Amino acid sequence: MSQLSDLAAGGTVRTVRLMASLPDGRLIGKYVSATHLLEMLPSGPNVADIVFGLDVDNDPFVTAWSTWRGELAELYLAPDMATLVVDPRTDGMATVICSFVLPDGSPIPECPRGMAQRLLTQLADRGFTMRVGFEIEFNAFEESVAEARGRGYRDLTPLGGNVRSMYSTTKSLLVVRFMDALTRRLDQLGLHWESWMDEGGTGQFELNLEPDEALRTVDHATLARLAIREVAEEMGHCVTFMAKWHPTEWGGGLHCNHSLWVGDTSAFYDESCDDNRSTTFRHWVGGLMATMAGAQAVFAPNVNSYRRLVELAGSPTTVTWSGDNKTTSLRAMARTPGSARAEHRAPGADSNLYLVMAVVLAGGMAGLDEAIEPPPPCAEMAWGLPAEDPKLPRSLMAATEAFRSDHRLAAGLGAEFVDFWAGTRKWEWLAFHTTGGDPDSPLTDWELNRYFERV
Amino acid sequence: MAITTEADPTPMVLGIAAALRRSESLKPSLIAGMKGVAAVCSEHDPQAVTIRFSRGDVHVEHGRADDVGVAITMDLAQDGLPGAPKPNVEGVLTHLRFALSLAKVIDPPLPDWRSAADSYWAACSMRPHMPSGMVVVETDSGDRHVVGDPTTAGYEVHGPADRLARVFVGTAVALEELLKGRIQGRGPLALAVAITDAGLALGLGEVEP
Repeated sequence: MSQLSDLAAGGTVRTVRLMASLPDGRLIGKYVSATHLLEMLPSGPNVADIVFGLDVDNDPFVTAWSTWRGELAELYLAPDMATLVVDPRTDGMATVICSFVLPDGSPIPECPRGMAQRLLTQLADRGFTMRVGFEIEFNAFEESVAEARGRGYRDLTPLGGNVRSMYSTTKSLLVVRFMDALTRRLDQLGLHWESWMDEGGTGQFELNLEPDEALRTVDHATLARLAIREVAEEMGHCVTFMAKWHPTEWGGGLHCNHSLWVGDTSAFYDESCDDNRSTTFRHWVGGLMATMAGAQAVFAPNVNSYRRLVELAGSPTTVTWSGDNKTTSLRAMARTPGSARAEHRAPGADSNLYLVMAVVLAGGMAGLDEAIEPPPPCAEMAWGLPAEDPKLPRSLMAATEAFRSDHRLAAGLGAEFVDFWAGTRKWEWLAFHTTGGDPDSPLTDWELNRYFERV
Repeated sequence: MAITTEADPTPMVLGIAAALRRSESLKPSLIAGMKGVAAVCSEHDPQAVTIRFSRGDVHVEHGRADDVGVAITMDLAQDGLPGAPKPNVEGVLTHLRFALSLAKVIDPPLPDWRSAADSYWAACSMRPHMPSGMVVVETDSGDRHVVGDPTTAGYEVHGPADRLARVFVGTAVALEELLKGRIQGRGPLALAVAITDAGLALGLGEVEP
């Protein structure tokens, strides 16, 4: 608050963009004058509760309801002033990330950020802190977003050309200029990036942020994804976070690297254990494995997400884990205390960062609480395995059913959220099939129009 | 006799399977006598199903198969509304009896609106967020019918008999009917959503009437 006071008094900030993440990942909020916000704090402005009742196309869900909702009653944006960043794009603008709360200040069970916060508190009650690093994947195109819209998001030119070349460092200057502008923007925003690289698909890139305290990382990754879109727009390009934007191109992921700590000591590393994986780590992996099928409804939240699950095309397809085997859904590495971490590879580029965090926490903590031993690690290639090997759900409804019946996820996420999310996913499935989607088409205009700009 | 669907069925597959089950419960001999392959297709979007009848056993899958004998193409959004365009039927000349039976079994007769409301309530009243009771008013006659607890009925649904019956059978979506002015309601939005969700579950065969 004092930071905003100083910035407002000095004329650096006139307007604050307050924004919060809806469960489907859209960021919504209000632009508020700095003076007005200072008068309101610690509370924030209100929004109508219908925001939790509309799909990405602003149509009302009829398959999901929240007990706290009224007749378009007010709920509030609770600003976390620690997230304040001055926006370099516009003179006098700042951005603050918020959570959704009820008028009495109590958290909303379906607020993704609030849920992640609550679960992190529960993790702290067990004596651990968590560090997280996301691998943010996206696809960039030479065309502007206006041109992309005009073409129905088809026939676009991948930034860097049509040659697939993983880890390429020799693509066109357009790529370097765009990514350099992006990393400069991240520096201006105070978001610590580690690296970026050319990914397997054409025009596909991966940005890695420095691992940090869990909630801060998720907030920063949220701001970074926004910066990617904004920098692309400023440079006359466009980007998408769709899991699959083209039928024959690789899908996009959002790998979640994370580790538990007790003070400055890794809770995942123990030299006396097999492969240095501590008992805590083993049980954490056991929990993630036990909840992996249900978690897929969050990691792959849209009909389009399941088009990413292709054998031998980068994305995991099986309920498997390993030490260092990137064909599995989960890697659990403990070479050194500092690098000991789990990498969940199932989340797609279109998933909600806060919900991914919450689902990982719910699964991992269930593993700790129940001392769940993981199945044997997968030592072979995890693609193309025979039918008897457990696979990730291959459709939104199959994943939703697994999610709805997962008692461990329900215990962590809350029954109300499970009911709400399952209802919204059913709605997404209904919308696809009844308003123009085609399950037999490799990619439909319906998906491109619905998701290209909005996930 | 069994009515089965493909794994991971589409909404239209589930809806047609639910309609066939209603038909089968009303007149089992009709489906039991059918043999052949039929398709039902949407006129305006890619939705389609193939139905394989084999003397009582029926299997429903999405898409239009190559071996269909009869295919009905219809405007799904207008289905059941006064003045709705007539469906286009292919194969009627070569498979007349089968085509006539098909038209009957995919669109079984609607129950009386009161019976529909009673069946709906029996199947759905325990679903999440449902009201403790519901008042149904048939607007042409003014007749009222209460399901559940009459003293705490939390929602009223008003409409003509045909639309009420469709809503309570699950072939019309309550909130969409409300939005288009075909029915009216009184009560909280939460209950309108819950009532709609329950109707959808019936229409998709998630719950049995």
